[in-house]
This record gives sequence, C-alpha cells and structure tokens, in this order.
Amino acid sequence: MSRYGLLMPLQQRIRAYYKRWLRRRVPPQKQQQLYQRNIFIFPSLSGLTFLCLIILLWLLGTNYQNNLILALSFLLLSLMIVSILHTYANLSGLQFTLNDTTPGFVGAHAQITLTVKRTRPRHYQAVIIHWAGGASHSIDLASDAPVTLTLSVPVTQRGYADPGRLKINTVFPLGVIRAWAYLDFDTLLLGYPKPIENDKTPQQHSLDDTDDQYAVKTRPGNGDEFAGIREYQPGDSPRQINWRSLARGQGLATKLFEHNVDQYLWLDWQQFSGLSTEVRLSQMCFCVLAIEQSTMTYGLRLPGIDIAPAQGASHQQAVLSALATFDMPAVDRVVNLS
Amino acid sequence: MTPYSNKTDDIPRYQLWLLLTVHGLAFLSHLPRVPITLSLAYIIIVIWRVKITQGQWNYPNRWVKALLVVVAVGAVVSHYDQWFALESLVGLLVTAFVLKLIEVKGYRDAIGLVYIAYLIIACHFLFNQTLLMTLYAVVTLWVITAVLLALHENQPGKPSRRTLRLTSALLLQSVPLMLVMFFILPRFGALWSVPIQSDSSYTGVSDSMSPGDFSNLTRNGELAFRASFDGPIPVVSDRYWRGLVLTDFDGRRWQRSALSIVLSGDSFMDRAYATPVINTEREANSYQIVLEATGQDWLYTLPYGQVQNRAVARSVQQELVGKLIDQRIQYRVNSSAISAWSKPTLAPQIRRESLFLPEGFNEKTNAMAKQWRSEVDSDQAYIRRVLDFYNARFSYTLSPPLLGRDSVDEFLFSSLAGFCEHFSSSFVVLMRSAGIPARVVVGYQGGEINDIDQYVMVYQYDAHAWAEVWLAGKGWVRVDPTAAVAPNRVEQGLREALTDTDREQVSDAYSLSRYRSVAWLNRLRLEWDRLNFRWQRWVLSYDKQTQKNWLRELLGDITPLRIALVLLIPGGVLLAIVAWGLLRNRRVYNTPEAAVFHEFTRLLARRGLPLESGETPAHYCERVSVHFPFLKQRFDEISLLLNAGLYQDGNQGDNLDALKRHLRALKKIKFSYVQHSSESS
Repeated sequence: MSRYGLLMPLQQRIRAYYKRWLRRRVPPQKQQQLYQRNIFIFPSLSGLTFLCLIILLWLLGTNYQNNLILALSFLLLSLMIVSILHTYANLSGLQFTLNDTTPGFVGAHAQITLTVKRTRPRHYQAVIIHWAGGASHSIDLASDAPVTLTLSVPVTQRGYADPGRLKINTVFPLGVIRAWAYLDFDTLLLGYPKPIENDKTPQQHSLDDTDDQYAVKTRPGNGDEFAGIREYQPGDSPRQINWRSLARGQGLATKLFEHNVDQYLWLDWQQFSGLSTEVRLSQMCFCVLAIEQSTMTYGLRLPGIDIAPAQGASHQQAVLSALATFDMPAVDRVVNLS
Repeated sequence: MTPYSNKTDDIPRYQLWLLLTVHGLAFLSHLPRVPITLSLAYIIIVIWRVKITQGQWNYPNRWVKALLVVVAVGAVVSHYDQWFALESLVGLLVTAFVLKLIEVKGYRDAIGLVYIAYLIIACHFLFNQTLLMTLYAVVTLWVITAVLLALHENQPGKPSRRTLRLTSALLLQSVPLMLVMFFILPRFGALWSVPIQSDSSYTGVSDSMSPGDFSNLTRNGELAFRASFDGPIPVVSDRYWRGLVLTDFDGRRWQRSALSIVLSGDSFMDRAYATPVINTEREANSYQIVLEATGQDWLYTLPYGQVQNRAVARSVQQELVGKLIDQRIQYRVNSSAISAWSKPTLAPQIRRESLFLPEGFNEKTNAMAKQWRSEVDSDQAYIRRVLDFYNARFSYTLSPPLLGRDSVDEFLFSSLAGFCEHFSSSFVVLMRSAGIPARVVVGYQGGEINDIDQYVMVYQYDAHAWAEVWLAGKGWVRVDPTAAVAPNRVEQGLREALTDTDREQVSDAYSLSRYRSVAWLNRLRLEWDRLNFRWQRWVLSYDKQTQKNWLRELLGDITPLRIALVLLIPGGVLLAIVAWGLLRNRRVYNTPEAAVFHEFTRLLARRGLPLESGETPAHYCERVSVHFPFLKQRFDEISLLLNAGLYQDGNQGDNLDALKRHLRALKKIKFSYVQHSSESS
C-alpha cells in the first residue's frame, strides 16, 4: 500500500482501509452467524426524517407548553429507541451457510446457494438478502426449518473471482432503523467466457481417422445403435453394463452404443487464430454451447491442455472451466482484496 | 413482494386500505375546525384514490392537481380571517394532507403520509386536550403505528394479529421510556409567538362593554373556567370573579382605562396609589383555576387575588394582566379579605378618570343624580336610594328595548328593563354624576358547584358586570345593582332570574344542564365534567416550574450531569429489560434428546474435551471414553441411547429418562482431562 503513497486517490485509500477493517472484523467463513460483531445498525433514511418529525413536535410542544404534544414527541423518540433493539433482534441469531456455487458466463449471472437457519426462536421478518448487482430476496423465518436460497451474482470477468460480500439488511419493524451485515463466504465464483457468436465450424474427424488417438469405436458412447460388447473398464456407466453376460458368469462387460452421427469434433485453439485471447475463448465458448445442442461428441485443445472428446454436462463443465481459467493466474483471495 | 420492491411501484390494494384508515382517522380529528369545502374535497379524493387502485380512473394530471390545490387553498384562506395564527397554518397542513392522498404511489409516499398523520394528530392537541379527544388520539396513534409496521412486513393482506400484537408491544415498551423523558428532560420556555387561534374565534368577556354584549353571552353554554378550592367554596353571592375594570365611558361604550399603570410592588410610585391592605387575621381563600383560552390577557380571580405560579402584572385598578391566553392555562390564587386601603384618598388622576362623564350626554340622569345626592347626607344613603329605585321600578330581561344616543337617560326614564350591563352602566353614571368615584367591573358571577368533587364550573352565561364605588374611609366597595333588581341572579344563577320567555332563548346554552332535574343524568354530566377537569389539571399541571421543584427535591442541585444520570439510569434499565426479552439466549433444539446432548457436551467441555465440529455423538463418546477408561461403560450406554433417541424414528422420548439419569450421574463424578501440549512439557 505504501508503494502507491499519495498517488492513490483518497477515496480509494479509504475504501481499501474500510475493506481491511471489515475483513478483520467480519472474517471470511463458509458458515456465519449474525451477532453483535458483524451486525451494524444506524437510523435509515426514513428514520432521519422521523427524527426531524420528532424535533418538530418537540419544538411545537415546547413553544405552546403543550404537554400532550411533548409526550407524543417523546413517545415517538422512545419508539425509535426501542426499534433499535427490535431491528437488531431481527438479524441477530440468523445463521448463513454457503452450500454451492454455479458458474456463470461473463455478462450473465452466477448462482450461489445458501442455507439460512435461525438459532433463536424468533419470527424473523422481512430480512433482505442480496449480492451487489443481484436480485434481492426478502425472507421470513418462522420455524427452525432451514431455508435454501439461490442468489444470483453478476459475472464481470473470466476466471475465478471473489463475489464480494453478501448484503443482509432489514428495517423491520418500523423502517426507522436499518441493521445490516456484510458477509464474506470465502468462496470464488468461476466466470465462463462470454459466448461470442461466430460461424467457425470445428474440425470434423471421421471414424476412420487413424492418426487420431481417440478411436470412437473403443469408447462407450450413449447413442442409440448397439455396436458391440467389450470388457468393462473403470468409469463405464453402470447402465451400460451387460447384465446378461454377468449372469452367465463371464464377468463384467460393457455394452457399446454408437451415435447416429459417426463423427466427433475437435475444438482447436489453432483454428481460432488471428484473434485476441479473450475473443478466441469467447468464440470457442459459443461453439461449445452450439455443439452441446447438437448432441455431438467433442474435445478441446488448448495450448497445454487436451480434453478428450466426450459428451454430457460434466464434460461441458470441464471444457468451459478450461476455457474460463485458461491463461489466468491462480487467484489468491487475500491479494484480491486490496 | 418485498418492502423494497414497492418503492416505486403502485402501492398494493391492501396497503391502500391501511393508508385510508390512517388518513381518515387523522383527518377526522380536525373536522370541527376545517371548512366544510375541505370535507367535501376529502370525500372526492378518497373516492378518486380508490378508483385509481381499482384501475378505473387515472391519477390526476398536472393541471387537475394545480386546480385542486388552488380550490382547496382558496377555501381554507377564505375560512380563516386571520393569517398569522396557528389555526390557519394547521388548516393548510390538513389541506395538504388531504390532497396528498391522491398522489400516494409507492413506498416512500406511503411512509410520508404516515409521518404527516403523526404530525396532524399532534396539531390536534393544540386545540383540543379533552379526555375524550385524547383517548381518540391514543387509538389513532396505535393504528398509525400498526400501519407503519404493516408497511414493512412481507406478507400481503390484512395486518395479522401478530402485527397488532407487535405494535402493542412496541408501544408498551416505549411508554415507560417516554415517561422518563417526559418527567426528566428539561423544559424550555416559548421560542416564538404565533397565536394559536385568530381573535374572532374566542368567546367570552371582552375589553369593552356596550348594551347587548352580555345578553348575547347568555346564549353561550361554553365553559369559561373551573375553580377548585382548597377550603370550603364561598357562597354563591360572594363568588364575584373579577376580571377587568372599565372606566372610560363615551356615552354608550365602556372601555379600559387609558392609564395603564402597573404596580410593581413596593416602589415609591406604587405608594402614590391606594392598594388593598390584606387582613392577616382571616384566612385567605386558596384555590386553583383552569381557565379556557380567552384570547385576552387578563385573569379572573375572586376580589384582590394574588396569583402564585404565573407571571402577571397588577394594574392600579387591581386587574391581573399577563400574556395572551390562547390556550387553556392553570393558575393558583390566594384571595384574602382586606382590612383597609393603603391610602385614604384616591390619586388625583385616578379620581379624575373615575368621575369622568362625557359632556352633553345623559343630561336628565345627571340632573336627577345631583338632586338626589343633595337630598341625602351621605354617599351610602345615596347608593341605598339608587338601589331602592332600581328595585322598585325595574325589570330584569334578556331582550331589553334598543337604546338611542342618551342610553342611560332612555334606560332610566323610559325603557326600565335591562340586563346587567344596563344596570351597572347606569349605576356608575348615577354615581359619577353625584361626585362619587365609580367604575364598571366585568367578569363572571356564581358558577355551578360540581358536588361530586367540590369545585366550581363557570360558564359563559355566568358573565356579569357590576360596579365599584370609592367611599371615603372604606376604599373601593363592590355594588351590584343587578342584585337589587333580580336577587335571584346573584343567589341562584341566571336561569332562575329569567322569565319563562327569556329562558327559552338561553335553552341552547343550557342544553346539558337543562336535565338537571333528572338525577342520574345530572350525575352523569357532573361525573364526566369531573373526569375532564381531573385530566386537564393533570395534563396542565406538569410545567417547567413544577419540574424544576420536583427535580430539585430529587437531586438536590440540578446539574447537567445529574440530569443525564437520572435520565440514563432508568432509561438504560428499561432498555435492558426489553433487550433481555428480545435477545436472551434460548437455543433451538429439534428434540429433547438434542438438548440433553448439548448439555452433555457442555459438561465434558468443562472437563477439557469439547465436541469437535463434524463429530457424531457416537464418535464423541468413543473419543471421550479413550481418555476416561473408567467411564467407558457409561459412555457406551450413552452413545447407544443418543443414537437411538436422535436418529431412529419412533424411538424419540423413550430414552430420555435414562439419558438424564446418566447426565446427573456424570455431574457428580469428578474427572478432568488436561491436554499435554508441547509447550507445557
């Protein structure tokens, strides 16, 4: 920090200082419970208006020596003070657990799944939860049953990124006091490249392509046409096990099926030459999505990375993750914070 | 629907109903004071707003809004005749409040409307602090708060019972805190002066008197003031509530003296004037008066009262004058009997003004007075003769004939019928013509005793005018010529003194007391008045001075630090109680077995072996029994019981007793595990 010295704009320095302070006070954790250390509380904007109303009433009551107006102004002030406790209690004792994250494309949203549970027998009302830029959810918690929420977070860059802090706030019951907590769940969100439409057709390879090390025939596909039986290999789907041969005592065997398309595709880095790295990746990302819709088998070739042709959701994820993290430095969350 | 998402959206229908309730209740409290046109506008706007929400009508456009504002403000402006009064400002506020309803669209507007409703209710207290209206305001406050709460809830629909319960809880938790602030927060004096009401809206005795003024007041049944005595209540014929002295006479109208001399006490100037000397042998009448707003600046007391707790100046005419009384006030008075006057003669300018008569008016009266005075040998004898004259020939009526230029001449020699202003006026003229200094005194006479609580209720129809004459050796003496004509007026009140036809005229004023003959109804009326009086005294009594005395008694010396302590200690205790109720640690357990397990882990944690995260009860028991082999059997049993109780369906509750037994046994056994870390070795 000192390297930048005075060159760093003041606002930025304050923000950095605030972030460090918040990190010390509310450290990142997968599971967090709200209590006095991570709950902040202050009059809301309407609360400040309410305070003006109280002052106006006090002036009116004082000037006209009107005890009833004075009493009313004191009553409203007391309501506001008591509200501090009620609003605080409406967050205190809530427990948030990070369940899962789903990557998203740059420009769209990634998902974070959280579980909210109460640890105090209280009817929590109108607790508003959101990630900066994402849609907000207002939740009520009237029982001990945990509530699972899927929150969206906008994805702004390729690769792993810190989603920032979850914003939890409430103005219940009277709207005059706002209590909030900003939680860091110690997680990174994966951003896939933004798909960019293009008309490049990935390299097609026929089944007879002998120089290819991946012969389709030896691979268990999950197409429609029965193509034969081979010995079971670890990783074959149990659904494709030939139970009949097992019953005959011939050991485990795997049924092979062929696709009606007798070709597979290579998504090759070289094919997208002449473009910047990001655009290349984005175009490849678009192709992945396009191929997945046509139910073809495909593989990925990036400098230093080879993913064998396959199909299905996990394959797609592996391919997209490779695209997302390609040529990206390993992310250290602590560095990321400054 | 979240509380945040409706910030810009149209308010949902259920919220509109809530807002309409708040709006209606707040507006209704001001209904008696706003012009009728505003009430009509209110109805139109409510219908319009409902139609908007039903999707049938549109929001008004700019021009319609401008027209609405112009019409409504115009109606309010024309309704109040004086601008520089709070009443008209509040009228404008209420108008804005009514018009605002049509604009309410989203969350912020709704909150704004609710806040203004609080203000409207507070303004209502400026004009009306009766018990009934206070109760109304309390209910309205509760409703406003409930709606404010409902606006921040998640569930759409009517406010649930929970909402109402939470509202009550919030308010009840606030009330003790409010009382602490009310009694202890230091009070300040007035900061600015805008009168509450315009002059014309007050009724009561004014600072001038012409024929007909008082007979008009008899048709008014409003309360003027109430007085509660520490000792016995003086008899009715002694209850002359002295207000103002009128000395300047222009032939028709009586006005206050042009000499405004204020007696400051013991100065050299003061000693030039005759003042009453208190008779210390007789006990003073001590009483408290709650005076309704008069729009004037003088107080009413029994003759020569000393006001205790209010800054008033005493004029040379022994009037008590202070600040403009534009709202109900309370003051304590001591009225002492007097033994003498400080000087045997009047100061020259006072004598001059007390003898002054306009030239060329009421010549006949003047002549008669001079002749009569010469026929008797003392002022007293002359007064007796004049009173006999009234008694023999005059009648007491509410509707006397109209009088012309020489009003006293016409009254004394032709009409022969009149009301208190005629008698007092003609009497003073007769005295002055005969060389006796005299003046008119206006105020109230009599008043009804509320025998439930022993205090006097004085109404506007008790307004009265009488005379005071200066007699050598005696000083100023009260003479009431009306009493000579209609003794009933003074002894039993106005109603009894009137003829049947007159009584008809004032029946409106007596609307409630007309049922005096129906015992239970009368009792109800008196009870209600007593409750109101108590409430008013209670509300009014706690002022800056009372607070100061009370705090001095409590603290000895009033310093900011002590005030802060007295404020913060009870306030802090109250808040701590509320916080304890809200936040005390009550853990949630799904089953009683889970609670026992929790207690079990706490017990062992104290012995040095806390539960590790992710550890199952079976694992935990196993780990613990490794460290305490002599308890292995017990831990194995506990492990089995816990597993059955926590995880097997249908077994819940069966093993609870056995578990609790083990727990009790474990508590009695002394054992402890010390972790040998590398540092300690």
